[in-house]
Amino acid sequence: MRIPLLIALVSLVAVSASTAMAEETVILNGASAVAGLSEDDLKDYYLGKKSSWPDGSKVVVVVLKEGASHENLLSKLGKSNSQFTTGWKKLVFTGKGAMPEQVGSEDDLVAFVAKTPGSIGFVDAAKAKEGVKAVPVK
Amino acid sequence: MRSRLLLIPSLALLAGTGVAQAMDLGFQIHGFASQGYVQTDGDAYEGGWYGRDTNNAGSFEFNEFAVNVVATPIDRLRIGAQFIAYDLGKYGNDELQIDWAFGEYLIPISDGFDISVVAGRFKTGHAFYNDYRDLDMTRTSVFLPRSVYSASFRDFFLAANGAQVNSNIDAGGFGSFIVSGFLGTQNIDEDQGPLRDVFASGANQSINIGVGFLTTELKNFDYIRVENFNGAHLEWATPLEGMRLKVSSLYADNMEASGTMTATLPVSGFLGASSGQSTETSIDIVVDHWFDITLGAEYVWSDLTIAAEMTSQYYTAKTITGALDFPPFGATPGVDQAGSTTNLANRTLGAYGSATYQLSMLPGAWKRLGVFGAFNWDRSTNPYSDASSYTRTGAVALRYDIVDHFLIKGEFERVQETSSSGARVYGNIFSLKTTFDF
Repeated sequence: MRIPLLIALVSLVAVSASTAMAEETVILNGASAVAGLSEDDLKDYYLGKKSSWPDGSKVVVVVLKEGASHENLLSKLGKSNSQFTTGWKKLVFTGKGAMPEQVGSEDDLVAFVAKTPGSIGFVDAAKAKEGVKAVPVK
Repeated sequence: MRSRLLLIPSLALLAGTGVAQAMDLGFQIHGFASQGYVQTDGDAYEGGWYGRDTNNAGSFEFNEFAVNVVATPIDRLRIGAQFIAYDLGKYGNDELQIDWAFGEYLIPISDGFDISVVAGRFKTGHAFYNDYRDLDMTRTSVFLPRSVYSASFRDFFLAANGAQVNSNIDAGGFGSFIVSGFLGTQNIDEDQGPLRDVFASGANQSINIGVGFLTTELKNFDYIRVENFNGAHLEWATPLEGMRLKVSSLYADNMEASGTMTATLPVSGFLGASSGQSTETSIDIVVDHWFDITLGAEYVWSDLTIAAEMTSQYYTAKTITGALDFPPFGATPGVDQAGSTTNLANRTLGAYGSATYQLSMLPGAWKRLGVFGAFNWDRSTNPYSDASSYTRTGAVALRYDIVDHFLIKGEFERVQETSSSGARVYGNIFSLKTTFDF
């Protein structure tokens, strides 16, 4: 009787630890040559200051409409959701940028990045799959 | 009106059918529609809202509609155009115009340093918010502070035709810089518009002919041309997160408005039966040099945005009027008035401070509520007559985002204008505006 209880407790702790340690990561299309990004790079790409990768290919930003991963991304960028959206509208309506693609789920985001060259997304690291590459942000 | 009738259903169609983003085709379509209501009270003034005639009645002649398309056909190249129709009192009348239309090619120089070259009609980048003047969804207030964002220069500041070079420079621990400059020209409608009216005011003269004063006014302009219109700006995103500083400048020379003005003899005086008689002559208004420099600082800290900007403009100009010839009328002798040239120089100074706070502690949609306050101060001095005038305004605005792409906002502005004679007049401007974008 004690053993099943112990197993249940261990499982519960493991699940809790897994949830607490869930981390997001930046993912790029699998064909990207970019090996890593700096924090400034992350801001430049997500805020539309840079529209091309180092090899000249265009950057396609994709974001979640809402959710914890999106909130964490905004936190990394130092922007509220309305500041993020307003910044992009300023670019779009002056011809200086293309609005990020919005998707409803992390699975959709990963699928979009996997099929779209030059795309960049931010998701739960556990969601990253074949066709995308997770890159560190230093 | 025809263009407006076409544009509104087009916008609705685009929004409704989800054509707004067609990433697979390599292009995007976006647009916005804003409709406002404005009412003035007391002694409305010219800048009250884009040169509208003094009228205390409220008006819905206050809107903007725009649609744009942007594409990246090849790497590093972006092309696009935005069409806009606006109605701001007696200006615009919802006639379709090209807001911007350009191609931009990006040239990477090194890591953290790139240059882009733009050709076509593009935004000037002057001051912090000039490029976004028509974009209600990007700010809390209905009007931008007019001391820096002059209503009279709306069409002049918004965009230029020519070539522009932009550069982004990552300066590491010193932040980053945007450096931009352009060479080009500008189109000014000779039939209507706020800047056309500024030129037209130069034809309003009172000429002493010895036996009384002739009064003159513009009949029409044949053309208004701008030979050179150039600009540059430097923006520094400082190491202090959220703090940016900007200096921007515009310069134009050889601006000329040429046309015909009407001169009328005084209705009383020594001219007897010929009083009130009119004749026509030529009028040329030449702005030799016009220069604007604007300094600004903006600090964004969480939900609070504080901004202050100061601008100074200087120009030299001359008004050249043709000879006037009033033939004899009965026993009254004719009047011959030789042509003349009047030189003018003018300097203006304007500044404002503003604070916007987003009430994010409130639940749900109310967290987008914002407040805004501004204080404007204008001074215009003419060294030839030593005349100066001041305008002080204070404003408060509230914005509520109903959903992500649909908002409503209201603003109250109190105006005090002091004329060159020292007389003070007061006015109030109340405005409501709603905007949706896709």
